[in-house]
Amino acid sequence: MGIRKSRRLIYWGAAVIVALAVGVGCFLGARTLADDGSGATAEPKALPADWDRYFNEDAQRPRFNQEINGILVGPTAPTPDYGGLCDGPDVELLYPPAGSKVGGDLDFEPGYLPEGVDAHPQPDHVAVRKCSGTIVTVWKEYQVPSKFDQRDPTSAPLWSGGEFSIMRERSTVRAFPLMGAAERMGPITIAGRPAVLMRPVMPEGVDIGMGDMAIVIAEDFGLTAIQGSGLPLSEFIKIAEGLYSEVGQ
Amino acid sequence: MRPFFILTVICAVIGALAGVYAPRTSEATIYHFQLLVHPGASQTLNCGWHDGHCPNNPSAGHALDWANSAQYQINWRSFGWRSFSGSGVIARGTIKGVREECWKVKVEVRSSIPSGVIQGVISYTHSDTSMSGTTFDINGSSSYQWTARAVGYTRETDEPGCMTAHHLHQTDSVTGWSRNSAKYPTANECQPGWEGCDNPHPIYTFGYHQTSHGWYYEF
Repeated sequence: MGIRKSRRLIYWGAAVIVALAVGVGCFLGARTLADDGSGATAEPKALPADWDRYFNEDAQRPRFNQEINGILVGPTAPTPDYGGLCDGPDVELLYPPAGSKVGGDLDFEPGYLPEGVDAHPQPDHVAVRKCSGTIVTVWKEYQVPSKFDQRDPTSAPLWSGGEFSIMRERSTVRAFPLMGAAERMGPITIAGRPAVLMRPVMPEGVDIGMGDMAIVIAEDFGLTAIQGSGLPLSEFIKIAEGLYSEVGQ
Repeated sequence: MRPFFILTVICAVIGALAGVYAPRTSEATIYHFQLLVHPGASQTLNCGWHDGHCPNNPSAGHALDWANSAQYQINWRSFGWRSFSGSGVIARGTIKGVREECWKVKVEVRSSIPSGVIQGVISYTHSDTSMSGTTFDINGSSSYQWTARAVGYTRETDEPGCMTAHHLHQTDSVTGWSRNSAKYPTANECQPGWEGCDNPHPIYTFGYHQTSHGWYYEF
């Protein structure tokens, strides 16, 4: 009877040890899987330590005016022609109080804003130019916080963070000054409208919004220009397209 | 056999859940950084704290207007600090020339630790630059280190309604930045005898920064 009992104890002890070993194995396995960046938790590509080198190389590349999709862009492209509205003394640049509605046909609310971006710009980050009683410019600027994988804030950022602005201008000419290297500019279509895309500098292909990017869209009234940084290019394009969703109209 | 199987499954489930959600227990090291950004033009203050146009919103504005003639240089000026010994690059500035509602030179400040992450944007309005896209090192040390360099110049003209006389309108990205209210007055605030209203201001001297920002990184 005693031998039987102690055998049973040994079997149970062994069973518990095996079960605990399985548990520890699962613990370590799950932790490794959660950390290895595979599948749904894909780890972002790390930014090279000398990321600034890519910017300084890009800054040496040629810059010149060029017409793309019927829009003249480049370092000395003319600023909008307000059709004589701003030639007289009746010119105002207003910074409306935070949260106030600008109004008029140039006003907009973004139909898409990336996660974490406040839909209400801070004071000083909304401006309206009014000439001869007509609004000719509406400008709004938004802050983009950096974004990390929440489970590992020490990993490379998903978004580097920065700011972007959206500006709508009444203009009789389709031209807008952009300072980036000429080779970074090309055609794009935004919600069926011809536009120019200035791609950002991406050090070793890392697309986290390190460099300046822009989209200039031809409109019936003139131009919409979106300029900024801090986000992957795909998010930037979504912001542009969101202007033409029902909310953005 | 059956109890053993159940016990094993329970251990496996508990182990797997703990593996995913249990906090990491490694010992953390925290590095702290601070950047004090000084005025970038002349030492003459044209308008105290405001937003938009002087003297709009003096209670909350982060902008100061500094006298500067057309074509005169606009400069990045800062003291940088880090909590660990020695000196080095604590951030990098990227110079950007942009036309928004007015012409601006912006310096995007991205930290070295964590690498490339935005810490703020300093805007120099009514300015232009031939250095758009270039970067520069912003230094720091445990006893504060000075960095100064040209980033642009004051424009001859600006867009309609932007500027009545040549000056630099300097501001920051506001969120996470503090204005140095102790040294500079609001647009409406000058009282006789207060040094904040006297010109010229000792803008190169430690303590006379316009705005500041701190960040940290935990390993």
